[in-house]
Order: sequence, then structure tokens, then C-alpha cells
Amino acid sequence: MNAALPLLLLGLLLAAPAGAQPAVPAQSAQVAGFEDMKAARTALDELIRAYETGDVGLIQSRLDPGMIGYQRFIDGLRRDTTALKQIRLHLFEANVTAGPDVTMIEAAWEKRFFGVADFTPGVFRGRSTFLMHRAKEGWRLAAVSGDNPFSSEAGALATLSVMPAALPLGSLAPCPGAAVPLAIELVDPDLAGLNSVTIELASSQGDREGIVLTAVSPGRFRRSTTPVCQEFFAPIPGSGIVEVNAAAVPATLTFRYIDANPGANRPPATLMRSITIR
Amino acid sequence: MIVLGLASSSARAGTQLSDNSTVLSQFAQASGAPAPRLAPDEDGATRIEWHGGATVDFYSRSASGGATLTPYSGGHFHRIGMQSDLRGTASEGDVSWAQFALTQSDDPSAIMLGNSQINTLNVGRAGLGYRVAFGDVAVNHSSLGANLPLRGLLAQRYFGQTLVSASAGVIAESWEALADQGRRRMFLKNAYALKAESSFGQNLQAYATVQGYREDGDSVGANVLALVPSSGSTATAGLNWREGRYYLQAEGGLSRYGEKGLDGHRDRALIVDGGWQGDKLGLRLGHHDLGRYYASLSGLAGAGIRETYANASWQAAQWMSLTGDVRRSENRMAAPPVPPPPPTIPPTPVMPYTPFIGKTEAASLRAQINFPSVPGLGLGLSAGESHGKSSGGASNRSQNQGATLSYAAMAWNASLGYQNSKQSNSVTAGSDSRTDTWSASYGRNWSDATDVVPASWTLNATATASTQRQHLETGATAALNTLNLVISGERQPWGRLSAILGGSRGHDATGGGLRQYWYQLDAGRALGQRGGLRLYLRGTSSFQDRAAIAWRDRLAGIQLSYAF
Repeated sequence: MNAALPLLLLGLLLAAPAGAQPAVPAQSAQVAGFEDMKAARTALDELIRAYETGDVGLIQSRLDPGMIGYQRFIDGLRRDTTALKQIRLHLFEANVTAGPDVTMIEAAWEKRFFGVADFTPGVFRGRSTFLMHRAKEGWRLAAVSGDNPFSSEAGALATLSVMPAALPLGSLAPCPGAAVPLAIELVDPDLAGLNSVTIELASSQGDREGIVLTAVSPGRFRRSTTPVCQEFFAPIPGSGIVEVNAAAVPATLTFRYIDANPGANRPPATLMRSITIR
Repeated sequence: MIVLGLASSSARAGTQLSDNSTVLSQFAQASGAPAPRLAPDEDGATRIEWHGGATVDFYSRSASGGATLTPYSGGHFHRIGMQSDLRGTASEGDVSWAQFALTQSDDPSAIMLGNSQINTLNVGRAGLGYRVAFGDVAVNHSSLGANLPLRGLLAQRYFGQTLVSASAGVIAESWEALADQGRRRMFLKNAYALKAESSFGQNLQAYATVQGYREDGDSVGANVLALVPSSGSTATAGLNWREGRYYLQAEGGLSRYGEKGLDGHRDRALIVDGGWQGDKLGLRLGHHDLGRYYASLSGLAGAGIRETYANASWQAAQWMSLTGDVRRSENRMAAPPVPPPPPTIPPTPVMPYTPFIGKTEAASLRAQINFPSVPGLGLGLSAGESHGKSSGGASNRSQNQGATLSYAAMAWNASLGYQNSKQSNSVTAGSDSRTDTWSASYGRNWSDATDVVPASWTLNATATASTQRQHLETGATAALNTLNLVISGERQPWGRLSAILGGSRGHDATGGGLRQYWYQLDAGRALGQRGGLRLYLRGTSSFQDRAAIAWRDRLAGIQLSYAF
């Protein structure tokens, strides 16, 4: 994208003489003010309280039936209210921008909850833009952009972390070897309820394995060790063990997870972390 | 779809007051703030107005439980909020403005990173047929094009019957994140958006938009994000038509999306929404089809959705209204994504895991009945059901029913409600369950108001109670009983006072006991014409008899405020 083009167009817009243009019917717009911002924020807070108490009916009554992804949103709400208990949604300081019929509320949030089956506590973090539209009945939620705190299925960006960032070759046992302390954690609120997920591990030497992470709380998957060993021949993809050719280090291990529904109106997104073996 | 209102040269045919009113409306639309009261000087010179305010909070909090259980930490904190709105109105009606709002706090639960945050930064000018704004600007072009807040520049101008709108800037988490790499948790996204809209007669408007973005992969520190930076561009065209009782909105778009170092995707989107609004009956029909790789700058355009719906609202009688909704929805995100080829080695399939359901059919019906023979008595009924299936054979089912009986009189109101829901999902069967919820409330208000004299004091009290049982398919049961009492009162000129006291008891699905209580006291009074004083006290105590999940917080604070 070349930023010069839009800036040039902006300049041309401003430079053009408006007085020479034909008449256009003036439109009367509603006046937005701080009271409108406050009312929109109050409406959002009401939705948050309804989500916390599992009042899906109230939330449903505040949505426009023409909202894109309405059913996916509702399905996710119902799944959350069934699978997560004692939900508490904490919004940090928000940035509120209002127009005559629209208010955009940008805020970071934290969602705390307990899993229904074993009452394991969990916390998700994200950042959202809540788009509120003014309707006859008051302010309605038109869309949530970014990480959706209300409805797990409607999309929240996952986080993937791998520790440590480097492993000495000497820490790897000869193949078939033993698991090394290479910790992997994936947090994907969209997958709350699943017992495990598989991420992909590929090495710069041509190995490729599926690595299974186990749920430690809803949407949080972890393993503390990873099967990596060293040898002196080419690795075998799909063997279940990451083989590192000791004669060709340094090598890079790349962990890859495709977040099917990352929110923010983003198509499926690739998350990658790499560590070095030297 | 929000239609932007801009004044134009035609406004000159009206009175001066009409012109100014239109311009002030534009200003309010542009800035998102109240339009100033226009009081031009006798000689028509520019009038400058400045409004603002400040609040200062000092509070002490004790908290326990740790970061997983509570967002709060203990200590003595302060929070300062400042707001300024400076406007100048020229004699010809053009309005210039500068708005600024800032929050400063040392409480980590108020501001996520750092101790200050700019809430609003906006300067601009609006006049006949044009508007330009810089700072926090709300780009509102279309559902499939651009619909998001941007930190940058916005310019709009009429060329005859055609409105041209252009924006360019950066999508960043905050102004602080824009300035400081250490406060970024997402890539900075450089974006632009263009729109041209023209009217054809009284009933039809057509528009076209072009927008694009590119994430700056170097804008965040190493190891902060695992995400691969992406870029996308979109072109859309649409129309809005309204004639009599009929209306139609449609937009189509094409997009290109790519992640750095990986293959890109092209995709498309189409939305059509229409309806008919009669005196007692309103009908809406719509179809949305957005590809899973459709990438736009619109918060409204969720990718990977195909849905068709019909919705009707009918005032069947003076005492009864009905709302019905049927829809078929496909979540294309449910299918395992096609893995992009890695940079160095051939691809292998990604495991097809997902709790999402691919195709869903849903219907719901709501009725509101007001009994004419008993004024104030109402009955609300609702029922809904949905079935979903995914290509992998997974399925889900959701059923819900509810009824609420309410009565409202002059001095009191009461309600009794029942909700029942059943959820099942073959992928996450551990939470399959049936939930029953009963709720009741009683409210009462008192005051010294008479038919001719307004109240000098008021007192309101509301008690609510609910009981919920969730029966899991595994045989376990979770239960929670909740009681809450809210009392609020106001007396002139003393001030106002509100109090909340509540608690809940129950057990989770493992049989562990759940005990919580909470309280809140809030008192405030005015200090002169512009000042205010507020004292508050609140606390929550949860599960203190279960050390692993116990958390508690208590807070006491004072707030001083001043507005000018």
C-alpha cells in the first residue's frame, strides 16, 4: 500500500472549491454528545452484566436481527453461559468516540470464569472495539471487532508461547531420546471446552510433527516437555519425535498454530514461534 | 448503515440559523461531542467556547486471590480524569474544534499498561460542504468496506451530488501504544479508506469504496506476538433504496488477503437486507455471504459467514405483540482452515479440531401480552431452538423457553420469571446440560411528591432473588441461589445515597460449596454550582472456605469533581 495516494487525495479534496459545486440537499443529523456516549456505555455495561449472569434473552433483545453473524454470536453466547460459570468481565479504561447514530468503544478487557465441570478458574485477555448503534429502542450492539469477550465462538485471537527460546544441543538425548523441558502454551478462548489441541512443529532440517497440548482450564492448553532428540541422519517426518541432525546445527524449530477464528474480522491467522538449537 | 450528513451550498438558501444548525450537527457528528450553543456576537465575530471538567479519586483497596481470580491489587491509588472541549464558530458558520480527554492513574486495574491514557484527541474544522478531522476519527463508510476508529486524518467533501470521503491513518491500541513500542501488544496497522457516494433521485443512493491495510511486522518487540503480519485490500459497491414502506440495502465486495511469507487469498462478500414496514407489521429479510478469507476494515463484516434470515414483528392486537425469527446460518470458520504452505517445507494437513458448528438452523418466537383488564400487568413469553451440524459429523442442539409475569403500579412493581435451556454439543459434551432459572423481584418507591409539588425526597428499594439449577449430562448438578437488595434515595439539597447488599449460596458440579457476598455504599452531593463530592465503599468476598479459589476485594474512596 502506498500511503502517498490517499494523502494526495485528501489534499485534493481540501483544495477543491466547494462553492462552485451544484446544490445538494442538506441533511439534518442528530446531535451526538457526551450524554450519548454515556448512554451507549451504559447500554454496553448492561450487556456485560447480562452476559455475566447468563441472561441471553436480554442480549438477544438488544441485537439487530440483521447483524452479520447473529446466529454465530448467539450460539457462542449460549455455549459460554453453559460451559463457563461465575463469569466476570473487567473493562479497562475505554476510548469512546461517538457520532450521531454510532458510538465506538475501544477497551482492553479481562474475562474471569470457572469451568462448569471441575470449577477450574480461567482468565482470558483481549482488546475489543464495541460498535453501538442507536435504534428506536435505545443503543444496540451492532458488532464487536477485535477479540470478542461475549461469545467465544465469535472469535478471539489466540496466543502461543514457547519457552525457552534456545536449547543447547547437549541437552538433547540421543534418539529415540527423552522429552526435553520445552514448554508450550496455547490460549484460544474459541476452543474452550476441548480437552486437547494439536499444533504443528516443523524443523529447518525437514522434520514435521503434530504436538498435542492438553487443556489445563477452558481454552488454555499446555505441555511442559516436548519429545526432541539428536542423531546423525536426516529426520523422519511424522515419527512422533522431533529428530535433530547433530551434524547440521544450528537448527530452528518452528511451532505453528492456525487460529481458525481470530476475531478482529481477520481471516484464519497463522501464529508462529521459533526456537534455536545450537 | 449510517448516512453522513454534510451541509452544502444549498443550505445558503435558508436562514442563517438553519445553516449554523446544520453545521453544528456536522460538527457533533465529526467530533462525537455536544454541539456548542451558538450565540454569535453582534458584529458576527468568531465566538470561542471552552468547556471542560476534572475528577479526582483517591481510594484504598485490599485484595486477595491472585491475578487469575481478580483484576484488582491492594494499595492506595488515585485516578485523575480531565476533559477539555475548545470550539470556535466563525461568523459564516464554520466550526473549528479541539477536544482532549486524559486519564491518569496508578491503579493497574484502571489502565492496562502504563499510568496514563489519552481517551480522546481530536481537532478539526467543518463548514458548508466539507469536513476535516485529525486524531481519533470514526470511519463509517460501509458494512463491508471500512467501519472502524482510526488514529489519523478524515476528510469529506461534496462535489455536486457526490460525497467523497477519505481517511488515512494508523490502527493502534492507543495513542500511547502508537508512541511507545513497549506498550504495543498488536502490530501497528497502516490503513486507508476511500468512499464516493451519490444520490439518484430521492430514493436511491449508490456508493463505492476502496480500502486497504498493512501490518507493520517490526512495530512490536521481539517475542511479543506469535502472529504473522498480514495485509489486505478491499473494493466494494453498494446501494440504499427506500420507497414508501419498502427498503433495500445491498453491498458486494472483493478482497485480497495475505500473510507475510505465505500464499495470499482472494475472497468475496455479499450482503442484502430488505424489508417492508407497515403500521402493525414489519417484515425483514436478509442474506449475508462472506468468504472465510474476506478481509476488510469493517468491524461489522465478520468473515466466514453465510446466513439467510426472516424476521417479523406484528402488533397482533392492542394488547399483544409478537416477534418471530427464522434463520439458516453457516459458520465457515468451522471447517479446518487450509494450511498455507510454510516458507521452507511442503505442507501437511492441520488437525481438524474445532468446537464450532458448521450449519445451523434456528427459530425463535417472542410474545408480549399486556392485559387490558388489569393495567400494569404484562406477560412475556419466549421460545427458541437451534440445530447445528458440522462437516466432521459433530452436532449441537439448543433449546430455550421462558416466561415473565410482571406488574407495575404507581408505588411498587413486581415480577416473576422462569427460564429453561438445554444445550448439547457433541464436541464439548462435558458441558451438555439443562438449566432451570427462577427469578423474582419486588420494588417499592416513596416520595413526598404531590400532584402539584415535585418531590423534595425520594426513596427506592428493590429486592431480587433467583435460583438456578444446572443438571449436567454426566449426572452432576450445579446450583446457585442469589439474593440482592438495592436501596437508593435523594433529598434536596442534602444529596443522594445508594446501597447494595447481596449474597449467593450454592454448590458447583463437583459438590464444592459456593458462598459469596457483596456490598456497596455510594453517597454524593453537589458542592456549589460546578463541584461535586462523592464517597464510596464496596466489597466482594467469594468462596473464602475454599482456599484454591478464594478471592476478596474491599475498596473505600473519595471523589471530587469540577466542571466548567
